[in-house]
Amino acid sequence: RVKIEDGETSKVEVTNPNAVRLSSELLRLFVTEAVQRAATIAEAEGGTKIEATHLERILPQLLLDF
Amino acid sequence: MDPLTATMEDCFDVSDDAEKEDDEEEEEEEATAHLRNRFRISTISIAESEAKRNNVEISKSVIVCISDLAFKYAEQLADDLELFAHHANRKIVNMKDVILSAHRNKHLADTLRSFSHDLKAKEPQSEKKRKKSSNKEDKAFPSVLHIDP
Repeated sequence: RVKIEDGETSKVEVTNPNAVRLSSELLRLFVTEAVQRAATIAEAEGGTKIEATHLERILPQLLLDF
Repeated sequence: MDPLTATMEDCFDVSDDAEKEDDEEEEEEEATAHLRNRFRISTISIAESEAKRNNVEISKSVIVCISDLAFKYAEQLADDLELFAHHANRKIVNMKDVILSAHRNKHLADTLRSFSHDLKAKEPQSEKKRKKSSNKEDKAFPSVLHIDP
């Protein structure tokens, strides 16, 4: 699942297509990590639904890791 | 289908100023909102497939939150990549720049590095030696080097 990303055009610059693929992989990993970590917390609490509170708890470490 | 306009603003303060007088700024806002929506669509599909793997449900507001986070991250990432490329006196952002942006997390950097090797290996035109006999071969094997999205 490749997300098509428009590079910022503040300075005249283009991106090499492999770099775009690589960065969309990076973003996909970000979303995946967020979901997985939140799911872990949700399951640890015995629920089956990921709520905002679960996301809150994993947010600091997630932002540090990325 | 209107999950995209669902507002969840627990995590974010997105305040819309109605005071923007410049048309250019408005266009930028629209472009940004459009990109953000496309981000949400991608995030929804990624999150849903991940949720199925763990047999958990995700609430809509959480997905939108994650998507907006990823969007902000992508903005910062784009800035960083621009700086790295400029620092290396290049005008084109490379795969090396992307890998460098993940330098703080070794696992992440290694994952990206191996992914980049796979991407390089898939390139159909990386070898110049093929030019002489390549044309006939390429027509005979068109699907071998096809990059699957």
